[in-house]
Amino acid sequence: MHRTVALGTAGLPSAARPLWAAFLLPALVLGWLSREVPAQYGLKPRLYTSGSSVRRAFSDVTEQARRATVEIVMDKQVRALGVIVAADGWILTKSSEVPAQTVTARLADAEEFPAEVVGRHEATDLALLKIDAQDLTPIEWETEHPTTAGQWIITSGLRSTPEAIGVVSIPCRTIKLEREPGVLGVGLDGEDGPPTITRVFPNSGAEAAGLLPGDVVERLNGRPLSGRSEMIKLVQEYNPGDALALVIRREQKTLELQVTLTPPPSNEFLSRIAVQNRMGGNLSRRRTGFEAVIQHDSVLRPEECGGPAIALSGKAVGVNIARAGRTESYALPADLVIPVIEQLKLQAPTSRVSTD
Amino acid sequence: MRSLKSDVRLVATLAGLVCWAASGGVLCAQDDSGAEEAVEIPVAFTKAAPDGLDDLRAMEAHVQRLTPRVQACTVGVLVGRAQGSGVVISADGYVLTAAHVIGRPGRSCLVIFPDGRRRRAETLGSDSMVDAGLIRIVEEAPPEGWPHAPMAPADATQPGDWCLATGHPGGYDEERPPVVRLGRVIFVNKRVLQSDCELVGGDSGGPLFDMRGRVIAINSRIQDDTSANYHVPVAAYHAHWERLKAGEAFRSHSGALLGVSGKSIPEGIEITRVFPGEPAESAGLLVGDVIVTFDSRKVTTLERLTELVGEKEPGSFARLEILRNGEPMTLKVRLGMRWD
Repeated sequence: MHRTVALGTAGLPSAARPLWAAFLLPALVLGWLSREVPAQYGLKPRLYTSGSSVRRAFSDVTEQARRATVEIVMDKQVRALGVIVAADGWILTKSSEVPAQTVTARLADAEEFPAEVVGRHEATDLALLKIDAQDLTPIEWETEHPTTAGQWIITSGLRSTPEAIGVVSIPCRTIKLEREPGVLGVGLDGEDGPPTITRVFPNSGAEAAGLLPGDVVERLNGRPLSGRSEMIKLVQEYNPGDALALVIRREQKTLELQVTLTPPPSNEFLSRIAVQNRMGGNLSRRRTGFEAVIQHDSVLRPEECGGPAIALSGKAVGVNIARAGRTESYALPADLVIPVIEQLKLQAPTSRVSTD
Repeated sequence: MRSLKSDVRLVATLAGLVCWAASGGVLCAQDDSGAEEAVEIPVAFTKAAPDGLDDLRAMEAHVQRLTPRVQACTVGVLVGRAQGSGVVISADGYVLTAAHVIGRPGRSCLVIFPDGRRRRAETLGSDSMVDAGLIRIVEEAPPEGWPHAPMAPADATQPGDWCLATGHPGGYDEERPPVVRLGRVIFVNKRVLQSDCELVGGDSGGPLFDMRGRVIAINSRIQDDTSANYHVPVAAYHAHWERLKAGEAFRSHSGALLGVSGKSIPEGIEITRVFPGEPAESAGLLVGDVIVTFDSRKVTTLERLTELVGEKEPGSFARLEILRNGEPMTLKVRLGMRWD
């Protein structure tokens, strides 16, 4: 099924809260076009900007950088890329994609090492890993030339053809933290005393935990509840993935239930821009709250973040930190990353540092 | 009907094609609407794919030079509660945008330049079939004119051409300039252009530029795939420039195709030719058949038939009542698409 949507926004008076214009173009025209363009009329996919023929032109540029790139493997799946920052086995990656303490680092020569997370930096979402290896090829940072709009950005992988290419859209911007509140998935009633559940939404944490309409919520994480609005406010302070302990009165019985909050479901809660931003691929879970990023237009998958963002010089202008939308990927600039490496090294257990 | 060529000249004059001789003289469009534009672009952009570091360096330098110029004439557009993007294409303030951004003609609206300046404007005409819209800034232009970029001629773009999209994804944001994206033209005809410059909400009405810095299309809509970004080609503006300027809201021919030729007779249209491989042939229409109605509407001339077909979208179904050897019959046909 093809979805075709127009791109205008019909917003509330504030430009900060855009919604979509109701107008939709005839979808058939495009459904037809995308399925049936005869080959002689359209560009061959290998010649698209992210097509193999174009990416291959960058192979020489990333020849050094790919040796400083690693794949971070958890449960046999590549969860992120990483970047070797020192020859004696220090690797940076995207922290939130690598929740485990011990993972596997796969190098360009296919060799695999157990890697231990020695420190995490919340503000940048970087994690520092250590592997037991020497004489690795560390990344070279591009700190001499300022990043400018229109400049190539190449995302190296382990292979000689880079994973993705693009250009710098915005050389430096701050990305404010946008928190998605956790959702319980119930309708509530009652402002005088403990609220009553009136409805349990499908595919919600509430449904999974076995909450039922008619249940009265007496306590949330130990706190007694005075009404519906207090409970809503309280739930919204938690994040998707957090588990809440509810004390429920069901008829004559009192039950204790654990409910895991979900992200806001797409169709009901997300604005149409958020939907459009997911058209074309998944986004990184942590994609906001960065002091400075280089915004570029490379089409990355979330698991292609964490590795180096390379300039035509072959040096890294930064570390890819998020797939943030259909039109945007973010890289943390090198001058923000370099001090974090030193800071995280200090967090490493002293035994580790002294033995290395 | 005026010829396409005169349209092109008219718009070229309006746009006051600027000379961009700065920074190495790579970008230079001559203000001579009759002559070929003497613009130099690196040869790397003309190859099927770039070939080696020298090509990539030349492309990068060119795009870096082009970027501030294409950003300068890209505006945010606020029409009532709708917001989108647009591009100024003349010193006196004509702004191309998408039909679905402006709605109807004669509404007052605002355009926002990248430096944050807001200027009063009004909506002019729109072709809602292809999603072309026009706005004009009503405030007096500064002495040097509004920052603008020229429109490319109607037939200047081909698949494989490199292009730069700008606009305000997510809506105008004073904390960042218009957002540039580099890509290639995947498909283009008179009514739609597909590129792999990724677009998202708020980009609507924003421009797509060629490597000469000319506007070749306006951002319009997307599908799931990141290479499925659709734009309104400038040909659609050139073709109906006077109507757009006059504030007319209309729907042009959709590009739907039946694939027959015929002549008027008292009963309807007698088919003189059925084009091989086209929808009419697939539906079983034969030479000598007489089309009496198209979707229950009487067909008397070939022009009328073309018009009725053009009100339907390519890929949609139509019902034909015909006479074959004098006997009435009904055929269902799935309309095709004119690829030109």
